[in-house]
Formats: sequence, C-alpha cells, structure tokens
Amino acid sequence: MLDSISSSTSPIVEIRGLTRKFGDKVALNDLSLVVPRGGVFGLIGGNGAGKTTLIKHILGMLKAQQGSVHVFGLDPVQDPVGTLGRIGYLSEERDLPDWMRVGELIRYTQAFFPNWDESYAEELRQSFDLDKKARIKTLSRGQRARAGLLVALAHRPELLVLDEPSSGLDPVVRRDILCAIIRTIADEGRTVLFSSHLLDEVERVADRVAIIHHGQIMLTASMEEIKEQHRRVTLRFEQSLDHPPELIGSISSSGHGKEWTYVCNTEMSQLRNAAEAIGATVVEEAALTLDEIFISHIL
Amino acid sequence: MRSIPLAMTWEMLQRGRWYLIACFLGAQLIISIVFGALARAGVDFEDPSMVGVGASFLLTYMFLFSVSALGYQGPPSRLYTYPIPSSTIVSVHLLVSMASVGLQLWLTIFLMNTFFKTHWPLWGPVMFAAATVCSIQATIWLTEKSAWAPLAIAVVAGLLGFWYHFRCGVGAGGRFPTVLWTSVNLVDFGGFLAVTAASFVVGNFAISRNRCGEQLKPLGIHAWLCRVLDFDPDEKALPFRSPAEAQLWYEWRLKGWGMPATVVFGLFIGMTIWLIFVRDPKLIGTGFLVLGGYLSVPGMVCAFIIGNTGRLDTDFEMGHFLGSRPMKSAEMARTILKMTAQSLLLAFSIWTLAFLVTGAILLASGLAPADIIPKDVPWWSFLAAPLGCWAVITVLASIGLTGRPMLFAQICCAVFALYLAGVCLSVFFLPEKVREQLSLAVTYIIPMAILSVTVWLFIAALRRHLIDWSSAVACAIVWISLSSLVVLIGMQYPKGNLLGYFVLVGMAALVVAPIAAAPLAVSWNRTR
Repeated sequence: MLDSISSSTSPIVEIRGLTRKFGDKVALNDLSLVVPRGGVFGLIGGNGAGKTTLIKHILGMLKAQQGSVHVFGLDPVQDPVGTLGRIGYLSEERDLPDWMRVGELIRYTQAFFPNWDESYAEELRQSFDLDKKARIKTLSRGQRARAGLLVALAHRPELLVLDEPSSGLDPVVRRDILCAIIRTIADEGRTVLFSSHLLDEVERVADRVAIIHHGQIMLTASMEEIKEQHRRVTLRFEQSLDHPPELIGSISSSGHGKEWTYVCNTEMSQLRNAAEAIGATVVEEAALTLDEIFISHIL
Repeated sequence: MRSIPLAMTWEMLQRGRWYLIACFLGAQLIISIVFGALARAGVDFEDPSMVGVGASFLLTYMFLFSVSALGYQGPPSRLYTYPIPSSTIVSVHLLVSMASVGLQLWLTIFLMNTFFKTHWPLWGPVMFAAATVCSIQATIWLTEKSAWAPLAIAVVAGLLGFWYHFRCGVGAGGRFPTVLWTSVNLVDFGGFLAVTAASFVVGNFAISRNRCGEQLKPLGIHAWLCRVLDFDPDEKALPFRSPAEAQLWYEWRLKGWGMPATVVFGLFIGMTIWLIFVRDPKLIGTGFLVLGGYLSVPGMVCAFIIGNTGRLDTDFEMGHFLGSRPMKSAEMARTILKMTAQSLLLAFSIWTLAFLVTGAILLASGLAPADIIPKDVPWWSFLAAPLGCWAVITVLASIGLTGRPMLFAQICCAVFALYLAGVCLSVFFLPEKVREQLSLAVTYIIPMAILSVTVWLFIAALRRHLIDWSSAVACAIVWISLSSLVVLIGMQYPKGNLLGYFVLVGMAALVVAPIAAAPLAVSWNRTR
C-alpha cells in the first residue's frame, strides 16, 4: 500500500515493487514504500518480517532483484558515496571493530563525512560517558550502542537509520537513543527511519508508521491517522448470533451471542451507519494502542 | 536421534564435513604432487634414504589431520548448557577426533602404498596419531583461556614427538629417521592405551572445571604485558585527510602486521634451530634463502586474514560496519591491495636487512660470499620470491574478499576430486601413451585457464567501472614485461621447453589478476 500523502519535497526514500528472495524464501514481496523528508518514520514488524532486509536495500548492501530503491533520488548500489555519506546508521548487531579505541573510532569515522561536527561529537561522547581510550571490546552492550550512535549522529546526517536500536538494552540507553532521535529531528529537515518491535517506543516518537509483515507493507500512515482510524467497537445485536456479521473496515472480531467486538480501520461516522444497517447498536468504542493495532493487522 | 552421543557425533560431523573433505583431499593433492614428481624423476621409494621423507610426511599429516579435527569440532562450551554429563562430552569429542584422524591417516597411507608402493606402516602411525590428538585435545581443554596453553601443548607435543622419533631410529644411533614404525609391540600398545586413558581423565577433569567457569590460575604475565603494551599510538594524531587514508589506516592496523610478523617469527625460529641443532655458519645463508623463498607458504594464512572483511574470523561476509562506509567498493579494494603491498614490502625489507647484517657479520668473520649465497641460486629468484608471494596472497585474499570462501573451497574440492578420479581411472583403463598425452593436455589447459580467467576479470571490472583503462593497460604492460623476462631468463637455460614458458607466462598473469579480481570481489561481497 503506497503512502497516499503527498509531500511538497521529494521523498527521502522511494521503493517501488521491491522483491527479494533468499533461496526459496521470499523476504520482500513486491514492496513499495515512500519515506517523506523530515520527521520520524517507524518501521514495525515481527521477527523475520523483512525489516533488516529492507534497511539493507536502503543502504545498498542488497541489490534489488526486482523493483527499484532510491535514496535521496540516487541508487544506493550505484552511488554508495552519494547516499551513505548522508546517512547515519546504527545496526542491530552494533557491528563495531572490537580492536579500536573509542577515540580511534571517532577519528576513523570522521574521515568519511565532510560534515562531521567535532564539537557535537565531543558533546555526545561526554554525555554518553565514553572514554576515548577505552577499547570497543571492553565496552558494555549499552556503551557499544552509545558509541555506535555517536558515530552515526556526529556528522548530522540527513537520514538517520536505526535498525532495532533498543533491542537488548537497558532503559537508560533506550532513553539516550530516543533523545538522540528527538534531537535529530529537532534539526530542521532531518529524517529518522527506525525499525523496532518495541511498539511503545515507536508510539512515543514516530510521526509516521509502516507495518511490515511477511515482506509486505500492511499499512502505512501518519501516527495520528492510524490512531484516529483504528477503533475497537462493541456492537449489540437484537438476536443472538453464531457468527459475527460483516462490518465495513473490520480487521478482526471476537465475542459471542448478542455482543461482538470489532477492531475496525474506518471513520467512526461510517462505522455507526454500517452498524445501524446490520441492525446493531454501538455500546462501546475505544481507541487502540499501536500494539493492539499491530497485532490486529498481523494476526 | 534418541542417543546423546549419536546426536553429538552427528552434529560434529555435520559441522565439519567440508573441513574433513577439504583437508583430506588437500593432503592427497600435496602428497600426490610430490610423490608423482619423485616417481617421474625415477626415485625408488623403497630406497632407505626415503625413510626420512616418509617419517616426515607421516608426521606432517598427523599434524594436519589433528588440526582439522580440533578445528571442525568447535568449542565444547556450546554443549555446557545441555543435560549431558561432562564425561560424555569428553568421550564423544575424543573418540570422534581419534576416529577421524586415524581414518584419514589410514586411508592416506593405504593410497600411498597402493599407488606409489611406499610400504609405509599402517598401524603404528595410525595409533600414534589417534593417541596424540587425544592428548593434545585434553591439554587444550586443561589450559583453556590460560597463558599456560602454549607451554603445556609444546611439552605434550614435544614428549610425543620424541617418542615418535625414537621409534623411527632418531637418538638411537642416528640424527635422522632410519626406520619407520613398522611393528607395534606390547610396550607401544600399552603406551597408546596409557596416553589415551590419561587424556580421558585429564579431559574429564578439565571439562568439569571449565563448565563451572573456572580456569587455571594465571601468572599475570599476560595481563602485565597487555598493560605495558597498551599504549595509544594515535592519541594525538591529526584527522585523516581522506576516506582512503582512513581506510588504509584501518586495514593496516587490522591486518598489515601479518607478513612482517611472519618474517620476524621465522627469523627467530630459524636462528634458534640453527643455534641449537646446526651451528654451521655456511648454512645460515641457505636458511635465509629458504625463509625468503617459501614466505608465500605462511602467506597463504595471511591471505585469508587480509581477505576477511567479515565481523568474525570465520565469517567472511562483509559486516554492516564496513559495508556502510561511504566509499566505493573499488576504492576499498585498492586500499586492501595497497596495504598488502606495504605489508609485503616491509616483510621483505626486514628479511633483506637481516640477511645483509648477518651476511656482513659472516663476511667479517672470514666466510667467502659463495658460502653465504650458494652459486646455484639464480639472481631472478630474488625477484620471483616477492612476486610469487604477492600473487599467492592477493589471489587467495581476493577469494576471501568475495565473502564466499566456502563456495570456492567446494569448487576446488570438486575439481580435485574429479582430477583424482580421472587419474585413478586413467591408471586402470588408459594406455600409458594416451595417459601421457592427457597429462600434457592438462598441463597446457591450466595456464590457458589462468590467462582466460584473468582477461575475463579485467573485462568484467572495466564494464562495472571498478577499474579504469589506464590501470588495465598498466597491468597488461606489467604482464608482458614479466612474460618477456621469463623468456629472456629461459634463454639462459638450454633445457628450457615451450611448455615451461607457457606455464610461467600463465602464472605471471596471477601477479596482475588481483588488480581486477579484488574490486570485483569486494563489490560482490558488499552488495549481495
């Protein structure tokens, strides 16, 4: 499902009909996605949904078998310098060279980015409490994530890509990462794309969300739209029913007898009219958390 | 699978099947090349002078098969959380090692005796190899994560080595092997049993202890050395001027030490052996020449360090860190080749300096120049050694840079298995004349294949804009120059033949092939 919202500026990531197979396994299936410029874009999906595969395509580490991938309007495989030079990336594996010292990592990474901001890097290093002389291999998991985040942020990238940034980290480091995301978007025009299955985090910081499942985008919209359009409604029927009747925009249903609960993706006024049409009255309605919306889409 | 030992054995063999096959076939390749050449030269394998060769080969294969067995099994710590008694972990590991080493050596000896009529003994070396791998494995477990490990392994291997050499006549009337371990007497058998039993006891103690996270008490020397040597040479360094400079620094710090360290280590070991065993000044020069000439052998190991862009030593697939550098794959490959050239240059500079200093000392002590560099050593070998080393390292490193070394290992195994099958079938089914023609055809095909693949690599790299035309032309000039040099040098040798030139001209292409192969490999690895 392609994003319907048009942007005045060109999108930062534009993916059309992307398909990727690993042997017989289809990792991405005719996937299309547009990440608009500015704001935080949350990519949510379960394990093996295709989030990392999608991010690897954006970074040019996987070549599109079918379809196209454009980042800043460029092909990341053909032009790694043009694309990766404007991206800050933190991988899920915190893949940093163990033998380097923090100071060496900063000096080494600085060489690749002409926009490197030394004072900002130093500010981040101090706030993350990273010792310049410490070797990466001696850092804790959280410190490694902070070191990775430092080198991803210090060149003030146009696009910050975070792949499962919080997985396996304690609340303090997770807070640091969320603060970094917020600080990054505070710089005008910057974009954050982050994948996660910690939906409370996504809900806190994301402006737009895409749900990926089995290599396909199930839903993409702004957080407000998603929250407004997804409702849990309980309908009461005059007679007891064995099966729930069809309801416009319903994603899932549960219940028995005269009362049935639906999770719907439609506007409330339409929903009320539809309920009346099938002889039911709305007895309860509630907004859903992102967690509930995600589960209703993938189950 | 209902039996734990069966499941463990299956897991180990499944994990190491390619190592086992590659190691066994590699061993057969080396031995068949050496003994095939000796057979062609008319060497009689029953001659007493071949005893030493046989004893050395058997020892080398015991070592090779043991390393493969210890390598493919993996650390026993992977089984610590399973409900398996320590004794079962020990028994299965040791029995699988003993069986695989024993079987590989038995088959090797059987094939050698069948095809080359070497009359090597079967049971003595096989039982010795099984007992040795068992004791070394137990020692490794006993000294796990301890600085004692090298010393303990050296002591155990040394004691067993003395036993082997003693049974081959060394120390009992001769400095070199005079007999092979033909008969296994009761003392031998008891010795094998005692070593094996002791290994089981030690192994069981070690695994039970390691399972609880306990280790041998360290001496503190390693920690002290780490503290002393842990200085930061780049603390006050200026920022890099370009991504290429930063990447070269990265490659050099990570891998550049390999070849220079090999030379320093080789010089140290060579000098130690000379001081203890040889002490003949006239052999120092030969020792230096052997080290310089065969530097490409340890270079093969360095090549796989240089060619690894993965996150782990065992994973050659390019990691996210390197893969997400805003740098072209071609430039990344160029820095790797540049670092390799610098590393080799430093290695051969150390070798040259050490040779010159030693030579000067020897000359000053009254030795003639001909005693330092034998007259039959041609001048061109001083050029061929570094070039050959460069070719070996960069070709193997390019294979590693593809991120798919196992694919190439499988292809090599398949080609060699086909070759072996062809040789075996031809021995039984083809007349000798046809066999000779076939062998000649294969000898022509190999350099032709090398040349064709090199041309294809350059075309592919040019089409993908990974190298420019000026580099391709420069490589062509280098190859033509080397080929011309081969012909010019060959003219000094009246016995030189066309086939020899052809093979050398083909091999000369390997010097320039990595210039195109490395960028292609990095690109193929980086974007999958």
